[in-house]
Amino acid sequence: MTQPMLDRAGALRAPGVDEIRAADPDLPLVDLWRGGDLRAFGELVRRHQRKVFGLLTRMLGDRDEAEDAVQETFLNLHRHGHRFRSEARFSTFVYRVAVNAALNRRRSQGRRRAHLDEYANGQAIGASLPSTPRGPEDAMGGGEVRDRVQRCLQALPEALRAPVVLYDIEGLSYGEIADILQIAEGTVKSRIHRARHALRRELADLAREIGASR
Amino acid sequence: MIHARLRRQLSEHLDGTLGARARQRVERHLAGCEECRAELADLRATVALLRSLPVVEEPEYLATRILARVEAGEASPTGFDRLWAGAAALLTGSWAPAFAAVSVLFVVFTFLRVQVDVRLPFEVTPEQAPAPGSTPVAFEASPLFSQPIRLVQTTAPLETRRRFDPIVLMDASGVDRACGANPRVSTCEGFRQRLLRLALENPPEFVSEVHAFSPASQERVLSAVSREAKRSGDAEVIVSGLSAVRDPRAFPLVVRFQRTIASRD
Repeated sequence: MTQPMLDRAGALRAPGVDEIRAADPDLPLVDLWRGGDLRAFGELVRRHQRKVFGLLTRMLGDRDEAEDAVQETFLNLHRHGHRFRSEARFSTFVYRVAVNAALNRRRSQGRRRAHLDEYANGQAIGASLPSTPRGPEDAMGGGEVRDRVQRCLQALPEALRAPVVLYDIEGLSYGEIADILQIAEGTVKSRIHRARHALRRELADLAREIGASR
Repeated sequence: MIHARLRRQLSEHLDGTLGARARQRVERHLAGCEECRAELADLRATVALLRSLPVVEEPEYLATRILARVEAGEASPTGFDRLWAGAAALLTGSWAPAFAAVSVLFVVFTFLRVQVDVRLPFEVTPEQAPAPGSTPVAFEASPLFSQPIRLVQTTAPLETRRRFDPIVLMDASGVDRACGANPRVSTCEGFRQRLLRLALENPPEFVSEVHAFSPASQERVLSAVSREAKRSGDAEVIVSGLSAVRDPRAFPLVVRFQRTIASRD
């Protein structure tokens, strides 16, 4: 479900494989890598590692764990790279592998750990910020605020967290997210909507501060 | 109701992804609904908070570490992956046309073989074919074939019928029936009776006639005739008659009849 394009008649249509290939700057490197060139794979890692690391940090909420997950992502990518087809951009495929790595990681943590996390997150979300009023600019720049936003993200169910991180933080389109998560575009929209509402409830005080400042 | 529906579209309205009509509807609603305006403002601020999260920088050594692990063979494809890659190469690579051609040929030959198997029994050479103007006598269901087998009249000698075993053949009189491979069908009653008479009256001829069939058909013919003989009480007489035939081909027939006599049914 890559982004639709306008054809000459002005009608919406999905881009063809050739158009995706032409528009994907990674494909020459992908072809070299599939031909056995490890340097090309190294270049692909360097190109995408920041995005993947950012996504996994937001998804997992822990830098060390995200680092492990990034390694796992690229190792899996190298192992299963032949499954990549040019129907979508290579970066979309990388994101898909990364999201799967994050989900697998969460599952393998085990039930006990998950319960503990849930409890910890619940506590964190319930805890309010220091009552000292702060200006919104301060709030936006403060590490505490960022931590709180991150904790609220962590408290979201995984099904809601991935779409909202990919859309609002990574800046991907609905279509790309639908491709990555392999769900319908309508489902992506609905999950983003639900995630934002859940976050809005938890971050209402901060949101009002920002709203008041505008 | 409208309020609830439009409320669900606030998030998309914020992203500017609503169509023109939907956007106008939401804007009209917002103009008169303070609750939705407040919610939209909250949502906008929430999104701003999310977008304010800084870009996380990866550790400098990350790429080096990943490549070292790849070079150490930690990301080697598994057997399944290699199989998958091979299949993908066959289906999409330069071998794809050859693979497709082989697949098509395989399917065509498999289909043709089935067709040949099914069609052959129904082919009749001109001399065996019914006389011009005559039609097949009857169609019978057969446990051996999905299509009904065809009864035809023929004057051809028995040995030429061999390759058409599954066809029930009738001679010109319409009385003398020959049923090749399928003596179990009811129309073969006459055929069994004729062979039974032959076994009783002319054992050497019976041996020759049975051997005119293919080995598989021989078993079916002998099974049918020997059971008929057992029912009519002629089996022992036939065994003694066949035992006197100076033809080595008679011996297996004797054994077959004795087996039927010894069996319970």
